[in-house]
Amino acid sequence: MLDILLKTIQSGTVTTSQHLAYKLGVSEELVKSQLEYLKNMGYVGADEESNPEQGRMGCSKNCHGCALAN
Amino acid sequence: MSTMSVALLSQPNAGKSTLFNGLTGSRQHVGNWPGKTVEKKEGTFTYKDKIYNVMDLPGSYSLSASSDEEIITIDYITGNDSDLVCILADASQLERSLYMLSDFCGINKPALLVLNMMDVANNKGIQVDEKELSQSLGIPVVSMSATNLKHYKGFYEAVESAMENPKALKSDKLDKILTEELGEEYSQLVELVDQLNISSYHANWIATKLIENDRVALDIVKEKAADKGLEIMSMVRKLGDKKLKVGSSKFKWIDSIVKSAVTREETAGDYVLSKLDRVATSRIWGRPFAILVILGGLLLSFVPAMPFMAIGMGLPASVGPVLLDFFNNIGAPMWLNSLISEAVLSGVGYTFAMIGFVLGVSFVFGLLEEVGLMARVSYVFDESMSKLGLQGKSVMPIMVSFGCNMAGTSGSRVIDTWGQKTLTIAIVFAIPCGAVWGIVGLFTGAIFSSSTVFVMLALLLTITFHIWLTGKLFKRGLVTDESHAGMIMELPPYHKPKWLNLIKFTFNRMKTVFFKALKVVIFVCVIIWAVTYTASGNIENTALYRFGNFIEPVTLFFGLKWELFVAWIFSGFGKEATLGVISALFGVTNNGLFLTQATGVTAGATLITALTSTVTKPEALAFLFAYMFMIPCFMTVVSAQQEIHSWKWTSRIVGYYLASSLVYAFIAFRIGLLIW
Repeated sequence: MLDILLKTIQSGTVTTSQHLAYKLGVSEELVKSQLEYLKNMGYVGADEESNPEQGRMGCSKNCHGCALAN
Repeated sequence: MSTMSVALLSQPNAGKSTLFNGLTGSRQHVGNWPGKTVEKKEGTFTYKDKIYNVMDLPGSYSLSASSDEEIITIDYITGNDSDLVCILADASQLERSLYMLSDFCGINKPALLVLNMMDVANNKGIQVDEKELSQSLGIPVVSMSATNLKHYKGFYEAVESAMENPKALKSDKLDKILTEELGEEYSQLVELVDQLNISSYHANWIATKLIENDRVALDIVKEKAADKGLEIMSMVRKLGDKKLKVGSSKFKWIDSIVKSAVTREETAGDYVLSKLDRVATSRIWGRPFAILVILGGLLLSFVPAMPFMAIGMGLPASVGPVLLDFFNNIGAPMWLNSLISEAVLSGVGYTFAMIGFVLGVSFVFGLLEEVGLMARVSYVFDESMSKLGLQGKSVMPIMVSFGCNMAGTSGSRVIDTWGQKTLTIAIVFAIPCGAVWGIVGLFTGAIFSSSTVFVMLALLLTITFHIWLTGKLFKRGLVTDESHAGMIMELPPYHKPKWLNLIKFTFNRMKTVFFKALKVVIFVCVIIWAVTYTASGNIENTALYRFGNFIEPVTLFFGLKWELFVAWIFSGFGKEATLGVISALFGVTNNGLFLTQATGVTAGATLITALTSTVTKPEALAFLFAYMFMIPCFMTVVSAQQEIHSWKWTSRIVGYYLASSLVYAFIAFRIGLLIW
């Protein structure tokens, strides 16, 4: 599940947590929880500039240690 | 009295401190953990003649030993200092809170799961089957709201029962998932670790922590493994980087727990909204839906705007003659009469008419944002807009600008970041509004006849190019490259708008824009009046006429006769004004230049005859391109400054459009000379 989320972010796709939940067959809250896990583990960053109510999480860099870094 | 020790463990914001304070009241002591700067909070409570020491462990996301707080927590709960660990979870966000539980799974310590914030969960329609949950986890479960003192009795009883009948969290389900995810090598690692016989932890817990490169697990292996240590670490290296798989396993476990014990009520309203969201965010229907929403919003915004426009546009015709008579009767000089009843009155009327748009757009698009629809629009257009360095929401002001640029600029308030907002406004200036096509239609039809289609095509292609170029040029100073990449957007739920806030905001905004714009518009009207005023009404006596003739050698460089150059300047004041200006300058009307442009009076066939006999095709082409890429109108400029709050950037955008429109005119003129 986590690798699917990370691959989605790395692919440059723009999607929503609702869509991912539907695709993975889990609740939206679980998707959000997994995104929080990825953020805490340093795999992704949160877009701090955005309106928190429309929080986006994405990463444009292949960070050191990222499991999906090139 | 006997004394027992209870540790409170949870992620941040699960209400642990509230519970701790509720349990201990004034019977608490705050200090620091030995040798650390981490706060240590402990206290006591009494129940049925037993004293319970309570340790409020530092809140942390998990039990990974990546911080002092987490190391302190693991040491404490696996040591002999606590008899029971109360793991708090936010019942309204179980999928999040249970991650701590998944990390605790495999630690051999009696535990009790406390589902806190049950009131919040119930309000969200979340129901938790405590019995089912307790059966799945193998530990007792109690629900409460730490803010409600009535719930504490249930908590005390649960703690007492858990102490009398201690149970550790069942790990077999999680172990099974881990084995499925990680394969044979993981099973071998678990077997090796199991041989160490460490009582505080299950072998699976240590094995997963080793895969996560956890300090505590590594220390355990170093200390306890002796000769087996190398073999264990070799197996860990063989497994490779499987952190994500460990994480995924834990989430699969959480998912299975929640699905078996948690139900969410969905009302009819929720059902409809979730179906609406399927359409609104669909890859196929999302964009058409978003375009409908924006166009619908634009049409709706005309409703409050129309009365203002009617009053504003009618002001010169209705109040003008009254003022004229008044000033004549008091013997005021003619120029003063003209200044007030024409220039100032027109300025007031124009501002009043435009402010209706500010009201309409601010209210309607503010409403769309309040209910959550703008977030959906932003999402479906995010990928397309990112090619211009913009976010999805920028599509709204761009689309609205096809109707009115001022409304589009005003609508950019929905954009979150200043850089993106400014870039959007810079691009909005390139969008031809509805008023533009009147002049374009007249010129192309009257002068180009059979070549009209090609001229229109050239204009449209240039508009597309200009939007792209503007995006590229302005993006550099406004938007960073990293601001757009793969995104998972969290769409806010649909919710009822806060009407009072919305109305307050709209009217405050309208008031601010009106008074600011009024000063500027009247000032500009007075300047235009000054250069166009003549007591005789003969345009050849005006300063503008003399100026125009003087600069014509320069304007011809761009392919523009002085009349068309002046018309181009006036088009920056208002696109609607251009036709009237051309009529006056080509001698087709006798109303005087100011009033003609202010009222947009045209003269139909007579004007067309005047144009075709005076303006060549290359000159007409040059004018069309200059006109098309000029700043939309003065109110748009004022509105832009209102949004950007920077005269520097507003001036840059205005300067860019002034320059680029003349450059396009020059190029079009030269190409026109080659063709005709």
